Amino acid sequence: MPLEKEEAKLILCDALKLSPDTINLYSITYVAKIAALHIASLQQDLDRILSTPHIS
Amino acid sequence: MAILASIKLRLADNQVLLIKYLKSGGSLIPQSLINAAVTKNSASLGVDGIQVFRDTFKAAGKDPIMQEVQQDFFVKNFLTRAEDYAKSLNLTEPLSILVVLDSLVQGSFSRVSSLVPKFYQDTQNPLNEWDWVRSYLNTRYKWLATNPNTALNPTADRVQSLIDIEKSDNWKLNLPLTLSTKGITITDSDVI
Repeated sequence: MPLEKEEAKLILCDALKLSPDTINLYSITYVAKIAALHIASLQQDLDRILSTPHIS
Repeated sequence: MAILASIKLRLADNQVLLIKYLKSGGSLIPQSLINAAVTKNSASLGVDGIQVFRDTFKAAGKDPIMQEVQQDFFVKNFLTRAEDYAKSLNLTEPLSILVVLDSLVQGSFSRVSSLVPKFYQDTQNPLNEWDWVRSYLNTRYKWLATNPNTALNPTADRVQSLIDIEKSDNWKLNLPLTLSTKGITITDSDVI
């Protein structure tokens, strides 16, 4: 069964241990961290906007 | 290294990463090694060459330039794409977006999502979204864990981490966020 490009990329990067000491672009940890902090940041922005009185 | 023997290093994403790293002033990976990695396959690099490439790539992970290049690459090529994809599927929960994002990074999102009943997406009822994501995660876990390509089987662990987040009902991805199978907790003090 031939590998899809994406699957090959994942396996390659796992095998290469792509920059594991800091970040690994393709690891679940990195993906989750980006998603969680990105969304947390958006939520904080929203909270800040909603908590700021409008000035007219 | 048996896997590497059958996979060409000439993969577009890694080429782009390496070239951007070099253009951004990165110097921890020698120009000669980058040239070899983007123009040859693993067979022509040889076992010794792959090991050198692996070690230097690993070392470059400590370089702030490499981190910035990877971060920029990730946001443009995966995060933005995942948000657009999730929106097109009426998926709005943060966990849903993370599930799409991880699948786009790992691959075969379309193939696995086609196995999930589409009626879950017929309305914008949140319950339908949650049911679809649960169904998708279970389907993806089985697909990876039992795939005839045994190299994929261990990667079902990353889906298990997402299933555990769903079971903890943390659809908003409130921090701290724990990846159960990795034993790692992400907090709001983490620096990307």
